Amino acid sequence: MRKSTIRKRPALLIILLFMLATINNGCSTVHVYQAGGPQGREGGNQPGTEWESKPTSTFLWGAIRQDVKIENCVLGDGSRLNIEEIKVEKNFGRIVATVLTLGIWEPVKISWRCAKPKTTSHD
Amino acid sequence: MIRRNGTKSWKNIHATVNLTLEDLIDIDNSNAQGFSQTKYELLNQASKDINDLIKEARIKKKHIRAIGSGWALSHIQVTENWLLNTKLLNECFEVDKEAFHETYPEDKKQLLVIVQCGISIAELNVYLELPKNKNRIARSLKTVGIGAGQTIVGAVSGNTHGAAVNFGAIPDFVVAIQVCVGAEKPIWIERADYRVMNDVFIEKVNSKLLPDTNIFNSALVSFGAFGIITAYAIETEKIYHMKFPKIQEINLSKVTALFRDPSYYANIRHLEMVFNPYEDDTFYLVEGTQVIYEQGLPNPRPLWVITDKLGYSPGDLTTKLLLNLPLVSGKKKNQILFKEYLKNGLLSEVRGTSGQLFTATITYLEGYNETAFAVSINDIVETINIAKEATRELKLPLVFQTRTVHPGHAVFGFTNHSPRAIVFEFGISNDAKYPKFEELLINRLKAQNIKYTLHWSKNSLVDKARLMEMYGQAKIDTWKKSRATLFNNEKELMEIFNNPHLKQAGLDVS
Repeated sequence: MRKSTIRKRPALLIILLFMLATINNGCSTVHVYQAGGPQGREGGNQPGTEWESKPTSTFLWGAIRQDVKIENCVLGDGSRLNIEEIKVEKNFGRIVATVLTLGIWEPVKISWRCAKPKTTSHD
Repeated sequence: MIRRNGTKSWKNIHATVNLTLEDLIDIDNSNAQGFSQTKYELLNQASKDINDLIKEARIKKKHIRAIGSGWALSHIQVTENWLLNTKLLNECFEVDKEAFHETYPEDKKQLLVIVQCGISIAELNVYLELPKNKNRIARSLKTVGIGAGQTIVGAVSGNTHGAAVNFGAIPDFVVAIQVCVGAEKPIWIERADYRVMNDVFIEKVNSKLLPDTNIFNSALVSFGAFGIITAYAIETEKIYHMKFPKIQEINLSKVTALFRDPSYYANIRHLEMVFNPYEDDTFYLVEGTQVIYEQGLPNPRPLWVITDKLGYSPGDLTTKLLLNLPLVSGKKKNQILFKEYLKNGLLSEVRGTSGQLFTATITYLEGYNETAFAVSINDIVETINIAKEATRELKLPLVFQTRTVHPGHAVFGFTNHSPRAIVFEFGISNDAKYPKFEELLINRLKAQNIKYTLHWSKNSLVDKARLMEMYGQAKIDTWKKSRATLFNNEKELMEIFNNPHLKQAGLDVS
């Protein structure tokens, strides 16, 4: 039913695609985050830092990869924090680059926020 | 310790504010020696680090602000100079019996907690409700909002309201404030007529006591203008459960009869109502009553989780896209939106603690904005009609939610309407229609002589004229005088904490 509606109204399809590309900035984003909490209660999203990001690429369908080293998930004394959440983003330009190079170059942007230190009891 | 990240692009959690910062500064409880520290050492290290940063900002003529969780939808809390990430300062401290002021009520002592500025509402709920020490009783916050991701200082300073019909808003459970203003010592503010901590404690936290009720009530809702708040003393309650029956469907006559009857509130703890502005006479009532806490009950299904079991959810900007779809009427879009809201946003036939019930934090819905405003419960019917008419006039897809709140003490508390405030909230696509719709609502409220106040963290504009309409000269004078006194009338110091939002509202000068 929906298919036939779209076939009959190509203008609607074009408008939809145009809006997807512009309003969505041609950007696809996947979020990776922790869930759960003590005694089964949902703690939700609890970042300890603001977003940090780095562009990265894989080449030759994964034969060569560019890793992302996270160095800011530390406290002032150097002790490490966990990572609370990660975002993998491809904007319109990155998607086009991947398509035009047939996947030889696949650029993405990786973003992350670090977790908070555990709240402790000071009686 | 302090860790400087340098220039960064930054946006708030709802992606309604985008900035390039000169320096994003993390501050945490670690120390260079790696030693475990006592509670007083931790509190003193944090306040010293922050005070030193303020002093440096003064010398370098930089603005400095603490960002909390970046939960505010408006520009109220930001600066483009130095933005301080306080989320890593997330400790809680019990108070020694001998540290209380002699007049502080005995029965409240075990319910009082000192919290660091960066602890989130969800973390605080876990700390209070699931004590790790056998000698400590389980406690609950007196009220919370729907979200649990804000830091405690962000929630208080921006006047997060909750829906506590017989208590007040989040600022109303704070009883002492430690704030850094770049002076020799941090300032410990309490109400003059409600003392909490004694001189020995204040000496141990290396602070200067300021027992002043006007300054305290002004500093509660001060959105970063009164310096950087490092800790609060908060009062809690013995743990309790809230029980929500099935959502009731009622008509406007019933709404009027219930909400205007003072006896209706006697047995209710939390009160929400939602309505679809395109429906003529249907309202959905969410009533939470307080019941005894029972261990071992299952956790309620978390609300506002937009991801299904397989991990699928709308893309970050899909909501904006759908709300702006052409060729589909606002009314039609609203039918879908409202159905989803009733299914995923309301508490129905559940029971739990506030920490189990109010857990919303994941908000990957970019391009969405919100306004909330409060009026007196006496004006509920007229305001509902205004909301409906304005929504239909602009053909917008949006859901109205109301929360009923008891008035409190903060000078700029936007929920201080008598006999109770009713907060109207709506989410809307973040585009040119957002300020236009807000303006339309305000003009209609003014035309009917309905006194209103805007949520400090959710609005498109508070300027001098609007501030005067909302609070009047006496409250504005009290707030400004309190700020000037706190800063010892040092304009240079006050300027450090000014931002465009404050200037626009005319609150940057004394």
